[in-house]
Amino acid sequence: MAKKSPAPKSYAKKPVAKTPAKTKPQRAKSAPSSPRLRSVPLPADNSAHKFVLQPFSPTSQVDQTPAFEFLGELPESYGTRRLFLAARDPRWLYAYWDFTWQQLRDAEQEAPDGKIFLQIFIPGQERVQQIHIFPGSREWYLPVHRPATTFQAELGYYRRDGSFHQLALSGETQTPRDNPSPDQEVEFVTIPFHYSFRQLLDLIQSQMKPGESLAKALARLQREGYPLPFAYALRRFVPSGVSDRILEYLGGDLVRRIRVGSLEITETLRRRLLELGSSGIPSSLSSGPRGQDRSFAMHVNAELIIYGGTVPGAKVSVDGKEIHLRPDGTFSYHFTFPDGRFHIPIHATAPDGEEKRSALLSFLRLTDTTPGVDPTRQPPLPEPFGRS
Amino acid sequence: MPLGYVAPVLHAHLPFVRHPEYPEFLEEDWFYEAITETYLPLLDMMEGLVRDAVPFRLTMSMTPPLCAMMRDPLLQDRYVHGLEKLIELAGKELDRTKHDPVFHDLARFYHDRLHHCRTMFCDRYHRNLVGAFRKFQDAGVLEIITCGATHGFLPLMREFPQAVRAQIQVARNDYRSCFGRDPRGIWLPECAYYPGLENYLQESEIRWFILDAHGLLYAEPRPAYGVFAPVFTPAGPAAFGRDIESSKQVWSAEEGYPGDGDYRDFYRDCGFDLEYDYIRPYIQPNGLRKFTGLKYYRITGRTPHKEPYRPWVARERAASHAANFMFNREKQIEHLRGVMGVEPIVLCPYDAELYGHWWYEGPMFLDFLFRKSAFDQRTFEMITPSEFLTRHDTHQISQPSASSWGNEGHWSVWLEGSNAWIYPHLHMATVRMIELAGKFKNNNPHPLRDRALRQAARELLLAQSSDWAFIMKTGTMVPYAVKRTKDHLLRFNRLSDQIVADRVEESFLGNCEWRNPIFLDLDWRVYA
Repeated sequence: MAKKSPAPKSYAKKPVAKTPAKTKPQRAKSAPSSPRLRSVPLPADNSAHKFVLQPFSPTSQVDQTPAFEFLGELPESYGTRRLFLAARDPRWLYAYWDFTWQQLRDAEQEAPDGKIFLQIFIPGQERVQQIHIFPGSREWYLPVHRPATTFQAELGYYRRDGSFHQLALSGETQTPRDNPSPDQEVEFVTIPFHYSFRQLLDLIQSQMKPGESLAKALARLQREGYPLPFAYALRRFVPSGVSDRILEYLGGDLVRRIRVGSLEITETLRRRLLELGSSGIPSSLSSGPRGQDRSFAMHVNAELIIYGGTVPGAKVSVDGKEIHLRPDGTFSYHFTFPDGRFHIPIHATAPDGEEKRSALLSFLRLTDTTPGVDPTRQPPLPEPFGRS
Repeated sequence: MPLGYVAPVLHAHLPFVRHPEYPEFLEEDWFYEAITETYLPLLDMMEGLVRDAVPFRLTMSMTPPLCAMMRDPLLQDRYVHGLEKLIELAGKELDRTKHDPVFHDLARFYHDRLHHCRTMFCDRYHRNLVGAFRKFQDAGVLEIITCGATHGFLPLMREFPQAVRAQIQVARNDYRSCFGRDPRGIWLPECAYYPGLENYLQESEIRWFILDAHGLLYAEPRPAYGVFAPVFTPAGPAAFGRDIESSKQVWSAEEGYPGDGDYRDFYRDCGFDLEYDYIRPYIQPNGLRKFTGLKYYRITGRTPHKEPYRPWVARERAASHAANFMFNREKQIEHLRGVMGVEPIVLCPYDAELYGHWWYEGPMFLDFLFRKSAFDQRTFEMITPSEFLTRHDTHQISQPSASSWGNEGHWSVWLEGSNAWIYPHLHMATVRMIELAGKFKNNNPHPLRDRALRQAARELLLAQSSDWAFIMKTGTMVPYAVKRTKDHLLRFNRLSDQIVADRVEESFLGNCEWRNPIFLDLDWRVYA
């Protein structure tokens, strides 16, 4: 399904907010701990329209599934003690751990300070983050803001002597690049289409070095003039400046399109391409690995608190979700507030169900920052966000 | 000789939705609507181009779930039944509108279109849409490529090589059974790529795949020609990059063609506009309204007020948009050729269902584009990536960057608050499937256990479909996506438990097979 696509013209403007960046503990089950803010109109994604069967308030037959069809529920966890880590994008990692509540509780009791930590580190180097987790949590979104970096995670607790007792270790994951590579070496290879990979491997197997890939080995052999049963015409040189001119062409085009409202990734690309100096080397690289960012930086973020009150015993829903009132009838609700336009309906029903009151609050957040400004990490709370 | 090439690519995919347990099922409409509005119009377009000897090239991915649905007799029957009902509705509409010439003409327009669909589907193709597309591939004008077996999001199963391999090899085998040859290209589900994925493609002799622009632009080392030439990945398969500019012209709400006021409005539909008792026989059995496909209004503008649709004006608009698209590609290619010194390739991938279903005039636009490109210009030639690699077999070696074509360009559409809960379960099922395959791969044949293992693999593959996470994220039909994910996992778990305990319950297994008859020849040993 295609994804990066704006809203249909019959609706107004870009409707979808960025995915809320979460740093809070989340339950492993289906309910996300943060309420999803509803943007109106419908999602921006054209590809989603292939799944639209009704313009509004979709319902599904699965809501009316007969009881005999019910297959049970998935377990909350399996207790395999697996720790999974994935780089979600150049700036965020995602981790989940498959521990039962009891397993985590036991580990807490074993820990001298009663605390379990999720640690993120660069293999062979420093620890970059440490999060105190609770037995109820199963996953975490971690802002690392380090593209093209390998990370690993471990879960455990500190012993009395200060050493770390590891309960689980994840595999390694690498955040992707977020800019063009400074490496402009060009190596060509001829791979004839009418030869299968198997045939090519058979042809050069005896000449391949340990760990050498097919394309690399073919390129080396072709450079050395090794006889192969097909013609290979090497284009060893690309005229200087071609790569920069291509990027300039794309960058200019991106700048033009940005003005009329554009796609997230287009904006990311544009910013990265604008960073390229005349040499074609990203400025952040020429000044050392994010050195400038470290010496002076700022971070900023926003959250949204909705609060109000009604009579005790009334029922109140915020964004379609019923919330708990305090004994005096007041309530508050806490959202992450990423960029985007949000419409949050609030409905109250009197204790006897006879009367109703409602309000619709609309918000718009637009963030524009200069280089060196990152989103502030939103602090984990002992309770999930949104709990009144 | 042309100065460069344009390669249009359509990604045709729907998740496997088939509910024999219900007489009608709303979500099956995804498939039926796509047949009427996208697949048949595309076939119609190609018939016309071949008939008129227009030289053209089109690349389409047709995913295994889509092909399975196209080949399924139950869904074929249901499609014909639904089409008959729509024809009946269109007939009533002719009567209802007879004193209103504007709407009467529109009712006739739909009446004729629906009759034409029935003729194509039943008489011309004998219900065999896979065969219909295959005919154009065999004629050399269409290249059909494969996809992940169930459109699984491969980067999030990276830790389980057998799972990635299964998605690719099961798809390749399914492609063989549909199209009688091996696939040469693949549409990676969601264009989601991670470094190293090409090794699995090499194993299956898949020669090329498509990346979003940043996947190629951020490759290591930097590709000298940006997205306008493929690179060879270290393992050998070539990576082509999506051209941003041409994608934007079709996708963008602000600049894109589909938002033009003369085009048909997607949301105004007879299913919601007409009086309830009149429309009741043509909506959901439970009485809830739904889209019928009879849509009488044009987009008009950013206003709730809509003017009647004028098909002949929309057709003219599609022609002028095709001319504009062609002109822009000419200018783009002239410029790029000057910069690069070699022929650029501009690769334009789109969701196939955008054409016709969402953008009603999309197939018409493509038809005009192919005809104009063939006769009204000499700057570029239409090409398929395989043909391009045959003509140009020397390219730079580079390692693309992890990327997808989702919003924000990586995994955040499929891994966020609404859908991250699925991964511990999917991974657990994957581990169990790998263990089962390893345990039984060398055992003597055991018909019932083999059936159970095959069905377990099917349930796992179906649970992995990226569509479920996508639907959870976009907020449309969410309960269905949640239930499908859970049901496949629960069926997998139960089958797995029964296999381990050597107590396979045949009635349960038979029920699973009856519901999800996909990949009939699936070899579960792919997980070993």
